[in-house]
Amino acid sequence: MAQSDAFQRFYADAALHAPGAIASTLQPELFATLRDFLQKTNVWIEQIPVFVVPDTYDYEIVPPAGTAFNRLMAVSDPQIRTNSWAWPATFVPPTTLRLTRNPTQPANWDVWMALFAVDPVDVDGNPVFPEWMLDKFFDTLFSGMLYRVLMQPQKPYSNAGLAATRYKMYVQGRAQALAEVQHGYGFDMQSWQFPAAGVTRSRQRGV
Amino acid sequence: MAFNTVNDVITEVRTLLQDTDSAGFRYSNSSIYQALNEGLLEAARLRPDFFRGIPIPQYGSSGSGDPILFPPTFIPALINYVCGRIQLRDDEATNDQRASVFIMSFKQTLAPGAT
Repeated sequence: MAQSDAFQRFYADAALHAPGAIASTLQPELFATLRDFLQKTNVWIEQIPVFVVPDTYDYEIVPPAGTAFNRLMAVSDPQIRTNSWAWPATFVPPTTLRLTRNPTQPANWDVWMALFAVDPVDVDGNPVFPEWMLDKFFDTLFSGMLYRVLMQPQKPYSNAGLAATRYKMYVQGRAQALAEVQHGYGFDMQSWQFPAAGVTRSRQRGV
Repeated sequence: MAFNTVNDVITEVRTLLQDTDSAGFRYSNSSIYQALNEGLLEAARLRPDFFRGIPIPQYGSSGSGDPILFPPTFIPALINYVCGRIQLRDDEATNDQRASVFIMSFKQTLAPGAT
């Protein structure tokens, strides 16, 4: 099966920065980068319907194929706006939604879960994830994959200095992605995100 | 010449070793295939990413038409290894220094600084 244009560009660009790195070298590093990125940013959120009934607190929810649940984001009522908590609940890994209060009546709710990619990969060896993320966070994922590739020992492309630079770029991009998610990808979001530049880290008493 | 099959690699090895007279090869097919298989094992040691998810290929003369399962951009390095391995034989036609250059070239191409 032919790889999508996004993946072809991704790997072709990586070959420029790591000459001699082949697909079987790049793909496991992309997998590891994507797992870290998704676990820390909650970018990939899926809406999973669940039917709750009184006197039942635990519900098994099933992640899409090739994914695992990372974090419970919200339990909402489909009749009301999204991402607002309709009922208090927690998440018990790997697949259990646990209500912390007894439902008063049967209801259809939506569980908003953050996901990350797991095995198996697709037929091309790429992790399974929405390809729009590759376009939107191209530079961040690219830097994340590259810093891991450049850190590999005794390779023609091994370069600790460049790896450190790429790592900083990745961490910064990941922080920006987290901020975007928290503000619903809206314009005019807050201008700061962690780590915050210029923030006061110490104060002298009496000054 | 493109390196698509095992036979393409063997042909290039014989060209470098000046052993192209099919009426009487200096080096037998079995010895060249042995060197090729050892090169693949050595490549797997230096670059396990080359064979991620697949068994390390090992070839015999019956499989000369099989596609060579090796990254195309590193096949010249593999050819260098095979030539060097052949030259390590205790034979009046061999050259230890040339063998060392071939094998070091292979190692430095796959994994600079490797021993």
